[in-house]
Amino acid sequence: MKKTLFSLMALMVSLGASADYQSMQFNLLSGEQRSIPSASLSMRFENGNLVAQSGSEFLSIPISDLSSMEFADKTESAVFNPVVSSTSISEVYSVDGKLMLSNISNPKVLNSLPAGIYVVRKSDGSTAKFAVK
Amino acid sequence: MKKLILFVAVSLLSTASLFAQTLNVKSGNVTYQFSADKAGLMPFSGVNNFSIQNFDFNVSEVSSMMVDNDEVIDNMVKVIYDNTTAKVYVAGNIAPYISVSLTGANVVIDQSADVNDSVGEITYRLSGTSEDGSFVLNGSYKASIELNGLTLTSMSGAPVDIQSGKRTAIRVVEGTVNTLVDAATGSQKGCISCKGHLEFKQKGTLNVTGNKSHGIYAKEYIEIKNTKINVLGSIKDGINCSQYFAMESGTLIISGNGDDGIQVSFKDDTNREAEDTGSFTLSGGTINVTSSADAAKAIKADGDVYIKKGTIVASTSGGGIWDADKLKTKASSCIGADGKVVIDGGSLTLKSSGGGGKGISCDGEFIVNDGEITIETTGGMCAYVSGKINQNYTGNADNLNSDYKSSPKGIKCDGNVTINGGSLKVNTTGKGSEGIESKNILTINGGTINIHAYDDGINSSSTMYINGGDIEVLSKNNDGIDSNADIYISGGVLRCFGASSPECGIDVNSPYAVYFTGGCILGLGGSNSAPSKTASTQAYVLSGAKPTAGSTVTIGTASETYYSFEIPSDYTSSAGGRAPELSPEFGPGGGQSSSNGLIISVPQLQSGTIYTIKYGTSSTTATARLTGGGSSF
Repeated sequence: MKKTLFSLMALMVSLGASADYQSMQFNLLSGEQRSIPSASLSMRFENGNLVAQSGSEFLSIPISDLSSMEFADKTESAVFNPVVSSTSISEVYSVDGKLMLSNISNPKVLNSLPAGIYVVRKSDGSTAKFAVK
Repeated sequence: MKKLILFVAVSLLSTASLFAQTLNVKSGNVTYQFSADKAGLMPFSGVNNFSIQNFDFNVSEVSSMMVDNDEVIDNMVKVIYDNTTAKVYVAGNIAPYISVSLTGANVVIDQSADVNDSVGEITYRLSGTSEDGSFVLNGSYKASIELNGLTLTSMSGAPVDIQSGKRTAIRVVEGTVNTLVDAATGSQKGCISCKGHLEFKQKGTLNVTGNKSHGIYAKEYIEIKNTKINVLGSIKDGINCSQYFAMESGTLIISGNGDDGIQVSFKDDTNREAEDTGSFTLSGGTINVTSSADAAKAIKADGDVYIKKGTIVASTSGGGIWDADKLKTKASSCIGADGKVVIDGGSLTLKSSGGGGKGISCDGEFIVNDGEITIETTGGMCAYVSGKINQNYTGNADNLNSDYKSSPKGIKCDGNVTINGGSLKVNTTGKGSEGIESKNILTINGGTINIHAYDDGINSSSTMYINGGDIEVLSKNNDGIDSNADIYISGGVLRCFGASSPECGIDVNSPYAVYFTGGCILGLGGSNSAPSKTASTQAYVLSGAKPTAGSTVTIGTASETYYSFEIPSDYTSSAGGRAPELSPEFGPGGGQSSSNGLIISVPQLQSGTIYTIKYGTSSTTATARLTGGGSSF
């Protein structure tokens, strides 16, 4: 009986470690970020704008202002935030500029970092922040 | 504790559904699905384009983007038919490799030539219903089509048309019933039509109707494992393929076919690949074919037929035809092979009722090592006389060229016949029908064989060897066993029953001879052939005794029975004729004789010794001999 319970709980934990994004984040060319809850999110393109609606929340952004969008605010502890899940990460810095990791072939090594905020530099030169909780 | 587990399980299910997040990008009736976990950064380029997982979208073609809790299965394309429309869902990871064209419920998928081992095999899951829909797959890499509760009728061609020349697995999902019907028009070669090879898998049910040509057609091989396939009707063959047909398990039921049940051809006439064998192999499962078309075969292979395990129930009722191209008659057969037929096991129940219809017909060897085979033919002789085909010709067929007639037979083999084991039961009742005919050497080494035939029970054009087995052969109107060359009997139990003189139980054509070197042998009929050469070393007795149907014949001394032979209940012949001494023109070793209507040989007999033959309530005596006293025609 205990084994059964343990197996179920282990499976639950396993599933819980998958996607759990709270919002869709829009990265603007200006560097500004805007977001809207991802639950039941509906989006369409209308008159040159990306129009998003989630429940009572509404968002309209000119397409010409958009750099990218991504699922964000993942609540789980794993570091597989879309920002850093790419294998194209070349370096990881702490917020005080200290090089923490380099030549990363497997993003899972990011799990070894202490809790905190970090900045990754990708192989294309772009950077992004992420948190290890 | 149980409540706790239930709580955890319910929580688990609800949690799982909550955590699956998918971005659905809809473009027309095609929805591209991206898992939130894998979507990553979705960059915009200018005011017109954005991309997800390296797949570019033009904003003008995107009608909506929705986030829901559907689960995205990588390498999966889902097609859901809904009467006059269909919805297509493409997993985001393969979006760059899939092009979809959609007209009503007619779906055409172009799978990119860039799909390779790195991308992996793509599965197309089809479900829903349409009375005017189809699925066409173009591509050059192996793929799977999953039938998951699909009812699809095409009004213009094949409901499932696979243009890929590679392997396509048809996965028929367990617990689902899938029904496909093609149009009566179009260029399709089958209701399911494939330019490559097909592998049917999983335990669901697939119903197929071919209104234009075959039920299922593949340009290359077909394999079946687990699936239940019903070919409910076809203008031509139920299943038609090249290279080979192999069934491992499952059920295949074919009826209403306008030509053969299953036909396997060579793909290439020359320079054949190793797998291009034209063969049919059954290693498990059940095949049931009911064929009524004239000159049709329930199972036909241009190569060999191998039956290792499993069950075949086949019946043909169609009559023979005159083939104006080949200038010969052509008749039905339950199993027909241009190569050999090898039976290593399984169960075969074969019935053929049309004129000239046969149980098994092969151009190569016929070999039985094991298995249970039951064959019944009831058709008469098919003959082409005076420009007309006659399904039950009763005239004198001796004057007809062999191309102009087709006799019904249990087994007809142009090559050698070898029976090493198993159970073989043959019953033929139509005029001119033989039990087993070999146009070459016939050898029996073992097995239980029971043949009751209208014409010869067993006939061989060349030497006949009987080395073992338990054999009962009865001919109502001709010889029990008849060889056009020598007969060597060295073992086993052989009971041969023939018709009245000049027919007999054991018949060897002059100048050939029969040799007894072992075995328990009984021949009963008009005038049996007896050994005439000194190489025959086992003594025998001849008698004019007339055992009756259902009785027992024993051979032995007055006080000891060496062996008992049962006379079949349907034996009707009377062993009439004249004693050789009254017909000196026939001489020793030949003659129409009542005194050789019964011949018995068992290992205990010694030449020159008098033995007792008991039959029913009667008995008689005869002196054993090593040669002479028989007939030879």
